[in-house]
Amino acid sequence: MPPAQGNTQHFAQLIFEASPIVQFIMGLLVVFSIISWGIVLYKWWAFRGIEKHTSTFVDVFRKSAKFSEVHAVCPSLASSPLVGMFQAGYAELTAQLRVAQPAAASPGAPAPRPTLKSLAAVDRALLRASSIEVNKLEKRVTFLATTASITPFIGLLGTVWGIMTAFMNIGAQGSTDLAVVSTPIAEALIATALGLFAAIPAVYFYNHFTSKVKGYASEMDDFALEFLNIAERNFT
Amino acid sequence: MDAVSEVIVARAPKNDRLNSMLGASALAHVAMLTALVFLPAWWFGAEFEQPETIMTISLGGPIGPNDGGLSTLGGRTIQEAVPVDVKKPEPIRPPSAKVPEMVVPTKAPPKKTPPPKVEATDPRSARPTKGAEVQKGTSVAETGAKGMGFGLSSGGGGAGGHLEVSDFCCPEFLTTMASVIRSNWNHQVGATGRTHLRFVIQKDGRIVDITVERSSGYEAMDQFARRALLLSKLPPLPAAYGEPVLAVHLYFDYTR
Repeated sequence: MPPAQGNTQHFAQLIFEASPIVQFIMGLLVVFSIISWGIVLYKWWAFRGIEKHTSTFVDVFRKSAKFSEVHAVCPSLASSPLVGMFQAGYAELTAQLRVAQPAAASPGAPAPRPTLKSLAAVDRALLRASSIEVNKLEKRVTFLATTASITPFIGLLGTVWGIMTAFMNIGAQGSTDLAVVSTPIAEALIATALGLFAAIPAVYFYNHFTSKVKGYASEMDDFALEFLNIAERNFT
Repeated sequence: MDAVSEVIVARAPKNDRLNSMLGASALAHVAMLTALVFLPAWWFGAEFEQPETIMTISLGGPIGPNDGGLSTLGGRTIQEAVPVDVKKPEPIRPPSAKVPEMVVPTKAPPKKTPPPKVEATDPRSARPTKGAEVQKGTSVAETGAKGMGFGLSSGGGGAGGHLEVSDFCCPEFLTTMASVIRSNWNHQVGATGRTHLRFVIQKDGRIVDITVERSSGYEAMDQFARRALLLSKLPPLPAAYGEPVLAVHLYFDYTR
């Protein structure tokens, strides 16, 4: 049963009556929270797409007999990092084969088996692509780490400031009455609460996303080796 | 440009949906803050039961007005003390020379002046006597308060007890309580000792929660005291006392 109004200070009242600096700090924390949640949503959505596209792409890659077939589906699965690596590797491969073919071709003779000049160049292309893809995956996740480590401190600053003013009030009024003391302290504590409110999900999702990125990175390494194996088997 | 670089440039990160996600996040925050503002206050404060008021005053001994005792509860108007005005001594002047007068003696009888009428006003609310006897702490003011030794003692005089409220309104109730309990108390155990009991008087006068705070060391004394409480039927708590219960500490002094 709700007790009569006025027994408990209303939350909103506490916020609106806080000192300007504490209010500023609360606003800052809310902004941090908004941005970090925006990034969480964005990354969540992006990783979901990546997961779907990657599994489809791996299926296609393992089932098809020609790289050109795989290359044809790439645009529809663009968000997978493996697609980027494949495209880079494929571009390097075709560039090398295009240079090699006209020299070897002689009119009338059956087309010779195309050969690669340098497998190491393909490897480098894959490496470049993988570092770009990892960067892409990690982008903005660092902001979550920043939020997670900074916001509790900012909240604490607000609280310390609020309690400081509370004690000044006590000094000025010469009263340690609970009514004088408790409201400003409650106001001040809201800042810490907001800081934790921003930090806790940020910590959780930062860990979540970094572990995902790690998973993708190892998947990409695996893919690079597989691609190199296939290239070596077929073009050398 | 090299074919690989083309691919890599084409796949450079883009913030296609970040802005919309930030917007969604901002909306969610605004929604939550408005919810916080418009939610009733009791969502944030836990409900709490009204605690028993526990304040302690002593009703036991002879306590002056400065000790927060009961002597201020008398409520009778007391005389106001005013400063004694001291008259300045007049300078001594020589008497003026009097011109002797010739007076014809008359036979008229001396007028009888009626005795001054004494108004029968209540001296207690009247202007004060000009005594210099105003001392802090040892008031001689008659406030009408009676001695509050409501503790029970088989000898003479109350030994004491105290309440857990700061200013209990109605000392008469305590007097009644003490006499009712005393009438039910068998103090003839043939030994000396003191039992401290704590109990709670409910609004309708029932005595509950009897606990022995400090035993006398003799089971019989504790039991007699407890029995006195169990047998006592008190009147309901006075209406002027706002709280639902009254917690009392009472001492039972057994003397031979």
